Amino acid sequence: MEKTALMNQAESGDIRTPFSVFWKKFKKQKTGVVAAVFFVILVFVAIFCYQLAPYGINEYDYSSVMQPPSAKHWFGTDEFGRDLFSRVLCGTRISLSVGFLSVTIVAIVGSFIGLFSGYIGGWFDTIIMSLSDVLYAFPGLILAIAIVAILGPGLTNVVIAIIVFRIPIFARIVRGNTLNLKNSVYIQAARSLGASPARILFVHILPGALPSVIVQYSISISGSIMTSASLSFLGMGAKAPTPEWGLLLSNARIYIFTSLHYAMFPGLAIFLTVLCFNLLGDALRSALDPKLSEM
Amino acid sequence: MLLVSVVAFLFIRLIPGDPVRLMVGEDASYETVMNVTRKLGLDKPLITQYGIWMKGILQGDLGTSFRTGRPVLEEIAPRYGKTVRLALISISWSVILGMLMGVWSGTNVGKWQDYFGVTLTVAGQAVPAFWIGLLLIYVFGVRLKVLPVSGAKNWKALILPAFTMGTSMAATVTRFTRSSLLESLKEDYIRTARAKGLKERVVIWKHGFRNSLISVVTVIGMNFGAMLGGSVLIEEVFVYPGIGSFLVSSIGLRDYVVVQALILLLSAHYVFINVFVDIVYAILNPEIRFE
Repeated sequence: MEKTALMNQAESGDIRTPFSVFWKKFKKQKTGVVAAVFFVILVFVAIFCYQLAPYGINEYDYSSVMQPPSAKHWFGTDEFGRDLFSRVLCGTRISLSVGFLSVTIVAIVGSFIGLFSGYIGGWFDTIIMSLSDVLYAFPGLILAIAIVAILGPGLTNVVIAIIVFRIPIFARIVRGNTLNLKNSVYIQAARSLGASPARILFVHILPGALPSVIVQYSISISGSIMTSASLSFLGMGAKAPTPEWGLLLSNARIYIFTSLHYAMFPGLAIFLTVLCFNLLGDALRSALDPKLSEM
Repeated sequence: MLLVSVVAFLFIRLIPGDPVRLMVGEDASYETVMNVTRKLGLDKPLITQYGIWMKGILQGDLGTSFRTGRPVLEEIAPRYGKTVRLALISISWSVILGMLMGVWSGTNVGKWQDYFGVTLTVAGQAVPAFWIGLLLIYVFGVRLKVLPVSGAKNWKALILPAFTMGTSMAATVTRFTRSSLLESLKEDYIRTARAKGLKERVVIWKHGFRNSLISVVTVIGMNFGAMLGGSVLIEEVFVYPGIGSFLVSSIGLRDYVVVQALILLLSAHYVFINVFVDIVYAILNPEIRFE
């Protein structure tokens, strides 16, 4: 096949695809790049935590209980002599799984609701938006606490709680975008060409709403990691002996009067992870939507 | 608000476990259980129970705690005052400091002051409040032994929880003050003000800062709800006798009446704050007022 001018341009990298534009803007933001690198490390740790951990996460050693950090135990040991470094490392997998699982479901379900609500309008839109108003009326964590109180403690229920109270956020963002795009000229053009509603929604409107969804996705992951750690801290999330960061902090509470290291490292892990996703979200926002930057 | 009350009511009824069993003990006779159930009104259909509850609320009666047998209002009132006090102190210091930091950082863009402000902001928004709380307990309570780490006996006991509670708010306020100040400093009226020969201080505070306040107020309102939710965590960390820790312990004991009253109260606050923000809006922005 003969190469067209366009293909030549694509190979030489001159063509402006949405991704290349995005990448060019993203690269300029140093904090975003640092966050992206840290994100890759986090995912790597989450996948290979059991291979990387120097000790088993439930390897009891009653001869070295509550040891401060040393060459043998980088983060020290807990009340049962378990290696804190290994436990914090493996907590990465739990927190990232909870974050990604819940937010992926929320993003898909919330976007669908928002798309339909904005596109169909009428009574359907009214009902959906009143429902989300009701969910909005509860302060975030209080709603999550109430949901977990009903379902009972446990990580699965924490995921469900996060899903319920985050769906309105995505639904609203996508609905707003849909309302904006619905009457734009290119949608009218698509409609006049005889495109089906499904095609208009998923091929023409959804990509338009995608940038805001991606930004919200990153920010929501940090939010849900924080929520799950908070619930575990209150004794409503993960159960012992899971090395969930919030639960580790909750266990460390009673030892705070004697040693610092136990509370120090799990909290640091939450902090850095949340920081990573926040910065990533900021960088994505500036790269994807200049209008929204600095919001 | 009515819908919220229905949801709060149903939510709590869905909590598994029987509060009567918890009250009378595992080995109480069937008659005792039935008697207590009847006394608490738990034998009636859900809609009747809701009706009774709603009627009570409108008359200022939130019901009687299953556990202590005292009116919920009496149980909540002293704790509520403590939580409000903590929240007010937290929000005052964080908003004032946040605005100062925001202006400081926004008028020194690109210099070390700005980097310092932005770094603090980014860190403050990502740090888990309960972790900061624990670290503060260690530093000030255990190491330096200068501040009490729990309770609410005197003003000193409030310092650590109020500091912890305000960190994320201070960070958020700093960030938004900075960005909206930068936005408004680009406007024409700022150039006019400078051209008039006004002092830079007047230009920034009276012309720039005042006009950036509107978006800052919105953000404060929006985050106040999160702060109320966060009070649960902070009260747990500092064993502070407010409604947050009361909520956690009541859920554990399945004290329906208390839990639904607390959830309703916290949500009512949230709605109330939003209305309040709208009013402050109108005061700050004449355009909205005259519409």
